[in-house]
Amino acid sequence: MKKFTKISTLFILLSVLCGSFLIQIQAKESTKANGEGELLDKIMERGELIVGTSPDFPPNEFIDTTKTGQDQYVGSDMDFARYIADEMGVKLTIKAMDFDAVLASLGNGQIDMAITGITKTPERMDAMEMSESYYDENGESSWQGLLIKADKKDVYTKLRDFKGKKVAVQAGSLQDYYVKTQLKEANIQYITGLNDGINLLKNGSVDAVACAYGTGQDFAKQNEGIHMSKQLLFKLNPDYMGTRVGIPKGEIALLNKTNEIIQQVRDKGLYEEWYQAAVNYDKQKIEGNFLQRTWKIAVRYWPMFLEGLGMTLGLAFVTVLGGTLIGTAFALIKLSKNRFIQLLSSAYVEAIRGTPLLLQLWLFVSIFAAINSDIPMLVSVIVALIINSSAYVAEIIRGGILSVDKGQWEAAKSLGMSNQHMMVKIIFPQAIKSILPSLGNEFIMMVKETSLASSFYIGELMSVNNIVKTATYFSLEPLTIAAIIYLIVTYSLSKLVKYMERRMRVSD
Amino acid sequence: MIKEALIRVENLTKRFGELEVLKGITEEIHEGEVVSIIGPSGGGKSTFLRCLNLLEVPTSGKVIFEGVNIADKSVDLDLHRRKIGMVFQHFNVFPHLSVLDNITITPCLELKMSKEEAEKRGCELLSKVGLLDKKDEFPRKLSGGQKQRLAIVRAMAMQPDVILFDEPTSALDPEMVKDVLEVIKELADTGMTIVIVTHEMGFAKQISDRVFFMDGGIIAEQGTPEEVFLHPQNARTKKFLSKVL
Repeated sequence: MKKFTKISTLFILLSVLCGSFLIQIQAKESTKANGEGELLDKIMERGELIVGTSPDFPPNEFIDTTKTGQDQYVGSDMDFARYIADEMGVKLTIKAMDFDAVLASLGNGQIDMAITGITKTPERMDAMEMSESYYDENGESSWQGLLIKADKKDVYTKLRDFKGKKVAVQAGSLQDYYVKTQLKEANIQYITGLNDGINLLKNGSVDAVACAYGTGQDFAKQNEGIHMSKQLLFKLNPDYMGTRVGIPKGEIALLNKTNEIIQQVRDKGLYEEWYQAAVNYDKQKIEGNFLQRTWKIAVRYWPMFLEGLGMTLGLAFVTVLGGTLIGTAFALIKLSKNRFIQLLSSAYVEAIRGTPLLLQLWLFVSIFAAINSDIPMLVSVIVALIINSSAYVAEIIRGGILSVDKGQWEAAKSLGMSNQHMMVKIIFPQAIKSILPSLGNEFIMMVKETSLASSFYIGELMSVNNIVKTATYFSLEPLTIAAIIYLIVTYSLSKLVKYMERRMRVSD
Repeated sequence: MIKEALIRVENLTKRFGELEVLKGITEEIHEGEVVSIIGPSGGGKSTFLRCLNLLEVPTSGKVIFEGVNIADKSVDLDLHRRKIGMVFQHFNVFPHLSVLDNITITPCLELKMSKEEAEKRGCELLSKVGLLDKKDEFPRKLSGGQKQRLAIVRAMAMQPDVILFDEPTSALDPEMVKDVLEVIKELADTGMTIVIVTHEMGFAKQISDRVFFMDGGIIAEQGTPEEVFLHPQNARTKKFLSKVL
């Protein structure tokens, strides 16, 4: 019975916590709804247009790895974004993130518009305002179809051949719509990026990858053995054709301004120029067998990988350091006698250990954006990582403290030591022996866990992998390089921790 | 002879869940007295001893030490514990501190004694128990007997008014027992008030002013060593002594 009350109190606490968050966000949201149409004024006022893009979609948007900062984002959509900013007379800031993150950021006010090869789908029309199409409603590049293995060219000649076959598609994409409506009898395998789909296709996990015709051709050019077939095109629905700009719901003034600029672009035929330029953008083709390709990519991109590793290690260090500070506080609270704050601390630890880190990252990025959209993504990510780590560190420290022999506590108490002196002079110095190696292991965990933050392109090793992936059209090769780097680092770190553990044991 | 007792317990009970370990004990221990507590295991000896400095919190009853009921939650326990030394079965010396630091740390921290003074007194105490040459060693280099002697002087360094011994020789190898008992005896000879839970019957007989025989959560019999050991009245005492002597 007692246990039951405890658990229910915990749940009440949790729901109160969540509730207050929601109210805050709700309040924020309602002010946003009141200020409907103010975004354009706000952009002009701050003199900056923030555009979100997912730079893994050549030739529309991709990263030139030889450049840094804002200049690295290239492609026809990026030229288009620069043109819009120029026309509005403001500075352009491009924020790179996963496609899903771009769409989500549009909803929570982190970006002013999304320019990332967005096509119209029924779901998207509900979630955002969509501009007029800025590119190609009729031509080849609006075609949507299926990538297949080259040796299956003669097996799959029409859409009907995919009955019962596996087709990879990005969730919520235009291709998703076409696959659902025109390949009703195929099995859908959802993917987060086209590169992943290509890998699945190559190793035979799926039979086809749904994508835009032009993009598919690009992939086929770079990858031996895959083929974009003209026979396997979807019947296009005119309502959903064309590439559009995504604008936050209700921002009609901004929508109108954008449509105005789009009209100019169309009149002058600018986008076609940008598109051609992007298609011809200098890309060094990487050739040879798998090992040679991996080696070439490693040689060409090693400074980026190294930088990514630096970011990964830095992130892990800051996270564990911050996590240790907060975690120690929570560990001490959990060991205290005050039932209420003890419960509060348990609720904190349970809530964080009971939810996935990726979810927490998204949660914090969204909450911070709702509170103040000027907070950089990196800050939200670091806060989320620290809070996540603190829950685990709290348990490490609590365990370390409890691992000190009960006799030590009793001896200190029997001598009349104050609680503070007992903890600082007797318990902590002994607990540290079991805490330090565990903290080392937590650091190793974080080195790996920070890869989840790559959804937000903050520049750690996994983000670098994504960038190199798009730059080279190869995904297994950069993944192999990243894997080797992770392995070397975590292996040496764990050796170090083992050594530390041995040293600690000797001094007992 | 009418003198306030150093420690007086009144109706002391202790339960661990359903198990009643102490069933209402009222007893006094006077200054300068050496009291041995004997009896079968599970009889409540250690629990009783640990209640005297509140390491075990009594379920009910009073523990009046120098006129103050320290079982009352409002008193500052640390203050009183400094005057009640304790020596444990498993020594509980601080493994991360040198021998000398084990002794000086609490006087420096809690009695605000200067480092020099604490070290000077620490060295005197160590030389009394033959450990002066070990003062800079860490406890892991000491034998069990040496550790226990260190634990005794650590307690003495606080200049307590009473020292509680909880089976101080039970965890020692047989050849170490004598040294430790020797130290306790010397301490008793200086007039220190001592309460000792022990299985060393000969030793109890030799040093005690009074002996408590505890069984079933009560002090079943008490008296001078002669009374308890040679002329036990209680059937349970007789039975116990017939087994151990």
